[in-house]
Parts: sequence; C-alpha cells; structure tokens
Amino acid sequence: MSSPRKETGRRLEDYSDEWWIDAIDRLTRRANVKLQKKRWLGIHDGDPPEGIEGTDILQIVLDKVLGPDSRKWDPDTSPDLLAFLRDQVDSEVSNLARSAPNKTTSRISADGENPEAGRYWTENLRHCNGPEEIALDNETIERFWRFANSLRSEPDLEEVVIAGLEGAGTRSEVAEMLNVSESEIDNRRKRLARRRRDYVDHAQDSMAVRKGGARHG
Amino acid sequence: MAEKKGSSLSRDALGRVFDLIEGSEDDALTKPIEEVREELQRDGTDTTALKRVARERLAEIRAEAKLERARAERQKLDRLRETTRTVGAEAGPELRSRVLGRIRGMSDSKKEMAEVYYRRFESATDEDLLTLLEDIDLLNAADNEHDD
Repeated sequence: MSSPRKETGRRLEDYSDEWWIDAIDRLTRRANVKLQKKRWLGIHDGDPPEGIEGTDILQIVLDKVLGPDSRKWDPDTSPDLLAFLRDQVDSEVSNLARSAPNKTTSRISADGENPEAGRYWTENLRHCNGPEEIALDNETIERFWRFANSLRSEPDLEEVVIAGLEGAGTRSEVAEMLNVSESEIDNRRKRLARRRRDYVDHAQDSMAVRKGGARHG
Repeated sequence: MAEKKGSSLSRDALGRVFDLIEGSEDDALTKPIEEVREELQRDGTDTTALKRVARERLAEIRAEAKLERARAERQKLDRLRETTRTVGAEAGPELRSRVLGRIRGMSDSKKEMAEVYYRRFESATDEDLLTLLEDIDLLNAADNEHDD
C-alpha cells in the first residue's frame, strides 16, 4: 500500500482500519526519527526523557484523537486527517524537547577537543558547509567522532558520512559525489543505519555501566 | 587531504549526516509502507498494541455514530408518521391537493420520478394517496440525508 491517501471531507469513523494501521506505522516511524535525531544532536542529554519512544508519542496522540473524552480532530478545520496527526506527533515531540533539560553547550573544534578521534576525520574533510560554530555539546561531538571512527574498517560507509559532512544532503548528491549508483547508496545507507543503531545500543550499555559504577564506587 | 584542519562540527552537518543515514522524518509519510515497517523493525519498535487500541476505539466510535444515525432516522420517521396521521384526517380534495403540491415541488433532478408519481396520483384512491404521500416524503428525507 502506498502512502495513506488524503481522505478529506470524512468523519473519524469513515476511515478504514487499514488506513489507521498504515498511518500508525508511518507516524510511529516519524516519531522515532524525530526522537533519534534529537538524541543524535544531543538535545535530550543522550537519552529521550524518561525513556520515551515513538510508540509512547503515538499513544498520547491516539488518546487525544480517539479517546472517549477528547475527540480532538475537527474535519471542518483540519480536513486532512494524516496531516493533523502528523502535527500532533510533532507537537508532542517538541513539548518533550522543551521540557527536557538541555545540556550546557559550548563551541568546540573537533580535532582540538578530541585529538584521537577527530584528527583522522578533519584531515579527510575538504570543507564543512553551514555555520561552523553552532553550539553542540562536547559529549555529542565526541559520540559522533567515536561512531565515525567505528566505521574505519568499512571505507564505503565512511565515504557516505564524509559526503554528508561535506554538504551532500540527498542520496543523488552523495551518489554523484562518490560516483556510484543511487541504489548502491541506498544499500550503504541501510548498512549505516544498522551500524548507527548497534553503536547507539552499545554506547547506551556502556553509559549505564559507567553510571552504575559511579553510583557504587 | 588535510586541507582544512581544525574545522568545527556544525549542527547542520551533523543533522545532514543523520538524515542521510535514517532518511528525513517526512520520508516516513511517503515512502512504501514495506520500507517503513522494515525501519520500525530495525528500530526494535512493535506497533501491535497501538493498532489493537486504535481498532477497539474505532469500533466504539463507529458504533456510537451508527447509533446516532439510527436515533436521527427514528426521529425523522416519527415526524413523518405524525404528519401522515394529521394529513390522513383531511378530506379527499385537500389530500389530493397536498400530494399534487409535493409532486410539483420535486426538483428537476427528479423529473422522471415526478412523472411516475403523477401517473400513480391520477389513478389513486384516497387510501392510495396517503401511501403516495408517505413515499414522496420518505424519498425527499433520504435525499436530504444523502446531501448532508
């Protein structure tokens, strides 16, 4: 099934179960991506607040839209139900970001602050686009370099990360920059996503061990 | 290759790398659902419980809506029966005039239907007229509901 169609001018009960099943999967993945990105950028102190996940966000949204006391959707003012649900997901994620304590941020040079991890990468970067000194917290930067260095045994994946740092924002731009096919980039992206997840899981386990050790030490 | 030693890592660059790896949040709404489910599996996310809750609540919502429609329909029929009862007390000429008025009042889109009713009207007894009047009112009520 392709993306859920915009079924405008209909009431809540007119949307089929299949439409909802499709929408729930898409919106949960959207919430996951938003939360993962916030963690990646260090907005949630490395962990989502109170261990919240995409399914938790969807639960809140479904309570608001399908709950017995709060049928929040008004088809007259928001005829596109999927867009309305998307906005609800985004709003819930933003609320969490606002309520989570943001870490103190500082400006940092990658190879200056973390010479072992950062030097290799900065030596391989021709240039970085965008504002170069937007604040990122130290831990986020170090985590990224550690992830990047974990790819050194897989140069084809490393190339994609470098391309991204150098300004390639789409698969076609990366494909062009690396002179490979877009399907090859798709394949690398899937492998990178698995590596990223493995790395995040591993990093969280290590952090838990360190925190546990600190508490008991 | 060390052309730019000491470059800082920007939030934009980091965000771009993330989007390259995971895809943007908007992709989830447009890409094939099989890919979305593959990514959810990779995330370790199970949406089964959410779907079960949604199905249950939708069933409740549909049942409530059906009940509401049935109530509205019953009220409409009650009103119709009341009208028919009142009209039933009218003498033949008044009843005949009322039915004729209803047929003439039918919209252009129901012109063929109006002709059928007019043929029935011409040969109708007083008793037939009551049934005819009820039929026309039911037809109009159903059309109005469809227009809503």
